Amino acid sequence: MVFLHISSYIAKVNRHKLMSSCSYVLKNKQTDLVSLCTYVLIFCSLCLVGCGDGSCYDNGSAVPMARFYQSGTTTQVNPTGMTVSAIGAPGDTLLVNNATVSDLHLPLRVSTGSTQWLMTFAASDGTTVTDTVTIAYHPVEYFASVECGAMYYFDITGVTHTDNMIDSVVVSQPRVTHVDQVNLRIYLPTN
Amino acid sequence: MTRRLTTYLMTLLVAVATWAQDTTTVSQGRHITPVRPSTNVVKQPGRDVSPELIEQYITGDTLAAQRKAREDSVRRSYPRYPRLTSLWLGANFIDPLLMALGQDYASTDVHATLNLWNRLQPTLELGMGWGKTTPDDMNFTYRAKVSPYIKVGANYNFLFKSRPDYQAFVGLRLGASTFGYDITAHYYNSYWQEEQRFELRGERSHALWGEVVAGLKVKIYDRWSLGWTVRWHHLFKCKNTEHGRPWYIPGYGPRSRALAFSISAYYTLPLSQDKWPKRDEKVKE
Repeated sequence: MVFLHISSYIAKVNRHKLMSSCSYVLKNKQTDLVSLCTYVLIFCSLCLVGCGDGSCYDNGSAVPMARFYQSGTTTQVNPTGMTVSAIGAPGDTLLVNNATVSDLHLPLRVSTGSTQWLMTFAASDGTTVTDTVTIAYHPVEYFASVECGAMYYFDITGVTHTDNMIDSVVVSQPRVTHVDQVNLRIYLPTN
Repeated sequence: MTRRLTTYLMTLLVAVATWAQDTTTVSQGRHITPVRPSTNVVKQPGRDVSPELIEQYITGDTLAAQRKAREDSVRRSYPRYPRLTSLWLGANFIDPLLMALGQDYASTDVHATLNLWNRLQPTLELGMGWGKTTPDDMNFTYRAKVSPYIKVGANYNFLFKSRPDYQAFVGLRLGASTFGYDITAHYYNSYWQEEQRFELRGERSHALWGEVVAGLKVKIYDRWSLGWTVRWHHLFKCKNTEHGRPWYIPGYGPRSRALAFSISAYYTLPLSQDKWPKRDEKVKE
């Protein structure tokens, strides 16, 4: 109602001016559309500059991941007091030192076709048991993306192990990529 | 008593019937409208009414004349351009400029667009793309070799009622490219403290994608125009090699980018210009 009153007032009092402004809008409709589109395009082009944050949402290198399971089941276990080191690592660097492990990342050497790992488990009677796991693989040069960079992927060709503590090792995903996934399933006895 | 009552009722009925008849007669009389002097004039035909049309009216073929008049009216309010309105030849030059200012890649193309009815515009784009990047804090150099691309598609011009000098359009494109690239990388493993350099040379791939285009084209001088477009594109297929995924696709840009921008210069060749609507036929400049 108020709108109608205002409209009629404008129409009566300032009719001539209103009509001239309408005709101006109509005359310049095409120019206005071009200007509007120009602003939209400039806005979009500015947005282009800010698109993409340059982040890598996966890993920067390909490292196989091992996970421990109870033998004969799909139940995951987390061994306690575990120590892991690689044979031939510079300075005998320990990868894990007397810790509880859920997922174990095992970096592989590129210059050789296999890597050996010593895995020491703490037994329930306080003693320790050590197994050797050998992973054989074929390294593949790989360009992942501008954000994550270039790296080596690995195609696992075989796994061997001693059986002091470890029951079996299954290669669940032979290609090791920079995306987090379980490549090796290591089965341990119940006790 | 009963006979008297019946007589009164009959009298009343006759009186009502007589009154109703009088009322009807009066209302029928109101339908008669005298011809007002202001409407009783002979109208002169408009300036743009053709002599044939006037002749048709005079000879009495009013139905055909009315049909012709309606067609003429529609044509005047909706200027039609001929099927072959014009042909544009254009060149996209923004990427080489941006590359000179520090951008890592460039796609440049020449394109031909046929303007049909000033509305539908099939277009063909032929171009080359190349690039090189060595990002800070990263371990590689990626060189995209100079490789060709092609795009085909069409625009729809929203300003089809206006002169072809100004156009606001949307369109679709289908693009394809086959391209090559080299990568040089430096790999370091901190646990094994080993360092490796590797080169991936002669990698080849191909891609197919679609684009939705929105753009403008404005006359600058004589037959020369400038146009700019924003393009949203979607990759239908891109071949990954054994050694990775291509970063840059000629004509598409970096693979992770969904939007692209282009600025082109155009030269317009008018076709069938004698059939274009005249400027006084409600065609705006």
